Amino acid sequence: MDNKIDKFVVTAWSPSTIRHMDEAPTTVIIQRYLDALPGDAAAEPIVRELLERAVGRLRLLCARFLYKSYPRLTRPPVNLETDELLGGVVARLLTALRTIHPPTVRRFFALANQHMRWQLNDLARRLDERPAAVALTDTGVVAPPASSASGLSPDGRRMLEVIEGLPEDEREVFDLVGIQGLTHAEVAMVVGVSEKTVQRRLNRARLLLAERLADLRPAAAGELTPPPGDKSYLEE
Amino acid sequence: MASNPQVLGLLEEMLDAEKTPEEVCCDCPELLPEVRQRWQEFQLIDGQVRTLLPGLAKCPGADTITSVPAPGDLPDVPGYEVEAVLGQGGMGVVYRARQRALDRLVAIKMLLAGPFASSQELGRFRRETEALACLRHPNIVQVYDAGDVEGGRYFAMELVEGGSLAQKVAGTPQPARPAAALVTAMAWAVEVAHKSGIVHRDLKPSNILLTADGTPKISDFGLARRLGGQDVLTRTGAALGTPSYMAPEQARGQAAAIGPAVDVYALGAILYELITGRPPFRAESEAETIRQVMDQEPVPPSRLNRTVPRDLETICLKCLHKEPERRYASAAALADDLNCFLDGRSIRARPLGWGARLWRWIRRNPVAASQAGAALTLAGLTLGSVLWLERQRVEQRAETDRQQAELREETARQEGRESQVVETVLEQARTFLKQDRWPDARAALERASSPLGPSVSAVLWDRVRQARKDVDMVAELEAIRLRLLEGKQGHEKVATTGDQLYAEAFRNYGIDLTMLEPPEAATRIRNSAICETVLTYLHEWLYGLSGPDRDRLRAVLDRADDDEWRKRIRKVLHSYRQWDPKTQMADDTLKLKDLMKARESTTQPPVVISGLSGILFGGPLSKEALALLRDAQQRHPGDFWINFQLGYSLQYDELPQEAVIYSQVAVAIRPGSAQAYTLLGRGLFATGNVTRAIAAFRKAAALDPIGAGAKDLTTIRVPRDGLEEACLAWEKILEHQPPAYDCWYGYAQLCLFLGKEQEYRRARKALLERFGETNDWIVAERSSMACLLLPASGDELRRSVALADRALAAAEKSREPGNPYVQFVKGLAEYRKGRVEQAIPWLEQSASGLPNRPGPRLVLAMAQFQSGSARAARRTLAAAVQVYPWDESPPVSQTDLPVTWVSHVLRREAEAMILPNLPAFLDGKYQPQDNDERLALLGICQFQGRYGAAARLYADAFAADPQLADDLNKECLRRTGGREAVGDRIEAFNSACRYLAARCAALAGCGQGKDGESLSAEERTRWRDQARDWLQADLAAWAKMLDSDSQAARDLAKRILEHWQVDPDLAGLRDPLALEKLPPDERQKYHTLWNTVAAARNQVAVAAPADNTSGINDEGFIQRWLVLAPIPHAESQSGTDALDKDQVKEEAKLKVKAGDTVKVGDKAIIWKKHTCKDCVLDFNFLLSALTEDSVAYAVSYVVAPEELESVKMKTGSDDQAKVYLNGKQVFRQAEVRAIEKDADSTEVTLQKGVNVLVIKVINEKVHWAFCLRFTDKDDNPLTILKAHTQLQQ
Repeated sequence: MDNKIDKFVVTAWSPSTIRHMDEAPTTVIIQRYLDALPGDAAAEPIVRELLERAVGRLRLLCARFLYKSYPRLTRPPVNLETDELLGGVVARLLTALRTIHPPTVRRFFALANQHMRWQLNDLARRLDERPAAVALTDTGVVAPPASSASGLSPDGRRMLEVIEGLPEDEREVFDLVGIQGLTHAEVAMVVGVSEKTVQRRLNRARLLLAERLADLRPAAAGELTPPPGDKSYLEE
Repeated sequence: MASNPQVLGLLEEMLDAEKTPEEVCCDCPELLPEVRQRWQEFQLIDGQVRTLLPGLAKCPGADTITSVPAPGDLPDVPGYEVEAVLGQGGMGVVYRARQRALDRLVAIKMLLAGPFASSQELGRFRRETEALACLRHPNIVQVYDAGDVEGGRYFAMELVEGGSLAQKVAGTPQPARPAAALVTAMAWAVEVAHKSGIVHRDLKPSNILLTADGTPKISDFGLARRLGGQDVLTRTGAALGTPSYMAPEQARGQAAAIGPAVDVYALGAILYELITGRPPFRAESEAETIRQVMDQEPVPPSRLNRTVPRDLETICLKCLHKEPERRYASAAALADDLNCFLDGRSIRARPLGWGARLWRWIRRNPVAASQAGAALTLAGLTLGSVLWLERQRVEQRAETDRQQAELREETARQEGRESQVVETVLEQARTFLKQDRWPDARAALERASSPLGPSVSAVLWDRVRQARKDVDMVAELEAIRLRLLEGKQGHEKVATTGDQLYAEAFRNYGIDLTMLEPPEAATRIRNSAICETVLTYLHEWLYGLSGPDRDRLRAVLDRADDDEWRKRIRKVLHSYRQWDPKTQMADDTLKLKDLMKARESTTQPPVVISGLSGILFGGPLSKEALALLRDAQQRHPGDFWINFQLGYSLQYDELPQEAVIYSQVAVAIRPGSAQAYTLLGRGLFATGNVTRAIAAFRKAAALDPIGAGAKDLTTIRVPRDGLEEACLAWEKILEHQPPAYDCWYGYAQLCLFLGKEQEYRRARKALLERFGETNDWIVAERSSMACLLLPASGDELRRSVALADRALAAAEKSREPGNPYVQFVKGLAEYRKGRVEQAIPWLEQSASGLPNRPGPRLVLAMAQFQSGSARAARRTLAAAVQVYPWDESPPVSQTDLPVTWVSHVLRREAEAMILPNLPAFLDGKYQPQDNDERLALLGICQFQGRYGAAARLYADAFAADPQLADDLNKECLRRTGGREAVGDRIEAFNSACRYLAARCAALAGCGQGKDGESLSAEERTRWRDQARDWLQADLAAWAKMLDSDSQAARDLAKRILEHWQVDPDLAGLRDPLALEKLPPDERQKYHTLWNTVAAARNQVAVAAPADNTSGINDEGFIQRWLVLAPIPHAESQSGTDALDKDQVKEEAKLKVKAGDTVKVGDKAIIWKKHTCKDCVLDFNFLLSALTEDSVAYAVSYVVAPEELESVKMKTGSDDQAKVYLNGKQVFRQAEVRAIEKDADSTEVTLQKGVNVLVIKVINEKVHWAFCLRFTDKDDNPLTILKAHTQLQQ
């Protein structure tokens, strides 16, 4: 019986873990990586460190997806197991990054960004496939139509999809800031442009993203917001 | 959104240079509106993106101030003169201020940064206030201005000084019309906000401000999200106020699900509070309120306030639906419907009447309901969670496997080893198939088809193709079996269909069993990758077959299947299945029994077990089959077939509660199976969960539009509520031209009941075409009944009559001569042909054969009328009306539905013919002259809910013939006395005249029904008095029976009195809340009445204490439960605990008054002293187990009660402990109150649906009976669980 009871005590991501990941000293690592890049055995620990950092970021993002989009799954009785869920995701990221040894920091990040987006998408997809089972325990009822159970994920997935479609330059900067959590200065260093340009590309990416995700705002898609003061629709 | 590059450029400029829309548009003012709007949209979406990608948080547009203003001082806001503090809340302070420029008074709200999580949150707030500033509506508090000052964010808004709606309502119900008007105004305002993309999310009376003239103004728009939103569940305390108005999806924290529907919900909740004086849900603790919001249905407003019009109640409850999609689609729709109500037009929302339906089920199955209800609900929950854990574990393991396999596959893919990819996939598919998880196998195989190049060899591709074929075969076999199981429930020839289906499936798979020689077929089966599965289904097929085909198949199986156990089973089954009941071979039965218990059975794959038990179920080995299944379920908790079969069998064993559990598991395993959903729906329906049942049937119908689930969806609906919808759904099913008669049965009748004559005629035509030549007497009888329901002519008449004759002939052939149903249809046929004299004898015979069906008598009455004896016709009509409940109560079972419709259609026809004064009577301009006419008119009164008129008819009838009341009671007893089924007796008792009269009077006296509202207060009082008189007269009669020598008579009397205590129609004269509204002296009379009823009833109850749980089932998990069931006299007889009543009373009072919560494990002083602690313990367990939060707790407790403490430490949340303690305390209060008042009984609602009833029973000694009364969402009683303790005097 004990093991059954233990099921109820599942460790979840604590906020402190997340913060720690967020505040990893990126600049220092990147600088060291850049310094060591000419390629020899000495670079290996740094590569590992960088990989670990990427994994940390991915975990953070996954946790965020989970908690923001599927908070219900994280509470009893489901207690969705972040760690178990992430096990496969992370393993695949590691495999991908290790196999292809990127020659530059920039290439490393490009690869990492792409893979992380894929993994996030995969995570969201799998979460979406869970509702039937989840709804069952939750209330003892049959799952209502999937839409109400699946949280924000279609948005999350749409977002990833739209990011994928951004122009190359914009996407790179957006990924480095959004996915990797680099500061503008770090991005400038990695990409080799001015901070101002980073800022401009990022803003443009955000605008394009918002434009392409326009249907995510609360009002139904395609419905025009009435201009302020127009009360014609008040009449029956 | 159309992309305008220029606008995009301007927006970029805004972001890059941190400018405002005005600034960037100074050269192109014409673009300003668009830029503004796009800016708003951008911010909304960008905000969402940012919550997912935290790295973006530091971008411009997200930064804000974080410092906190000095508390107390009046702030310095530029442009304003802050005058005074108006109020203070958790998130900020509101000041009154004067805007210097415009010299107007405004309210300024300062938001403190404190409660906000981050500067990012504040930033979002600023964006939203900007959006809000655009919102203008007379019923929305106008936001004038917003900005930053040192220490916080402020916004200036319209000053509204008439207080809030919360202050105005303050617990008193408001009149219906003004309340509706107020909510209408708010709904329009909310609609405007929704159109602008803003959802309030925190509408509640305290957020509705009132101007001096009472105009409502919604305030705090757009605040709720940040303050409430996702965090709400984790925060307690005053800052957030009450979750009473929160929609369930919001309470659950489904952030994404929070849309305009939550505001519609909240408007409904406000309406509820306006008309009843209290919000729909309110509990002691926030956590409990949230739980209620999520799990419980609100009490219908009219129960709290009888004056609430039914339509308004319906509107209100529609808003409060748990599922957002069932609420009004928009606030505007709500406003529209409220307008309909205000204008006296008919509203669009339809009420739900499922409470009545549930009650009906309990009335039919009182034993099952009272005994199974409590124990099984709990055991069900417990078992359900154990199963869940199992399933979780299985799933996780499988998931890990899957991930590992996928990883291998991925690696191979990356490294370009394509052949290896395919190999991995094949291996995965094989594993899945072994676990009977073909959908996963299919998914895996699909991956092998993606762009893999030429390096994959042809041989490998062949293997993939073969694997796909295997998967398809398994799917096909499963589908066939499900279809056959489904068919068995209907009226279909299963065997032949099954034979064809299986033969074809195997032929397509390459094993043509009709052509191949047995050795060759056996070899092919052995070589198949899915050999085990194929063998199993071959067994299924085998047992459905007969004659030479069977021998052939058996020969194949004997060659292909090495398993000794199965071979023996086949052999035994072979002769077993051939029995003739006359030469029953007990031998085979025993052999089979032994085989089933043999150890080898445990190693059989689940499909074999489920198949075997499926075959044996329903025969003499049902019990063993069930045991076998349960056993297998323990070993394979995650197997679809085992769970499905178990659910299926239990359902047929009339254990629907348990069946539901396994069906749920089956659904979870195969979410794509319509049959699993159908099974679940039927179980839910049988347990009274009509709403959930409908949801399950919907799901089934979506998966299979012509399956049984879709059919059920059309038939389980409650009359009048969803009938129109059901009829349309049915029409859709019939468009598919299903061959089975079951699909057609009732449709024509329903059309006619709904008055759709056109559609009825179409259906009649179809019926005649399809079933005109049938040889099945049931089909012939039912179809001809449907066809003759409306007068026909010409060819149709001829064919319908011929069908009736066919039914008669076929029935006689099937040894059913004199079947009253067939006689009825024959009589009807003669009548429709105009041969009245010939019809009468048939109808008379049928009427005596069907004493509880009004149909034959109704047609008989019409025939008599046609033959010229109007008087006899009236009398027959009166008799017909008496035998049937015509009120809204739904039919008792699915098959009864068409009977109901037939009855109503014929009643209408007969009434129109025989009662010429009917229209005048309904207009109140005519009063019937004699008792025949009075009794005949009761049908329509009941149907239309004219309780006042019905009560008057009864009163007049009794006045004209004082014997009538008693006579009919006697008649009813005579008619039912000889029968065994108690449910039927009560059913018949309900048609006893005086009791029916009392019910009508009670309803009229409480202002219910169609004419209830028009009755004056005096009239209502008169009817209530009348109802009481009648009840007392009946009570006297039953009390006499309780002293009778006959056990059967005593039982009947007891059950009937039990029924009184729960009859929903008497609720207005029984429920404490309802009684509160009556004058004190009248209330006292009812207290006395019900105490007498309880005492009379319990006299019997104590004399023969109900054995609480035995007889339900003696299977494993229930035994565990049994241990926990109340143990009546464990310690109370030990004598050491004899006590002074006063001492108990004092201690109890002290304890409760001090507000002291007893610690868990503190075994309650009071109880320890004068009752057995096991009882207490168990009740505590029950109370806590009834909340979903504590299921975990319950599970642990069932297994190891002594670990109660430690378990709680591990699993218990604070809330759970609170519920637990709360329950304990309330339970004690009930008893204390009873002792204190020296009352005979007292009842305390522990939580919605759970009432503690303490009854003093005097029977030589004083007993206290402690009962838990469980009620459903409409407060209709579900069951009563009793425990007796003795208090020695």
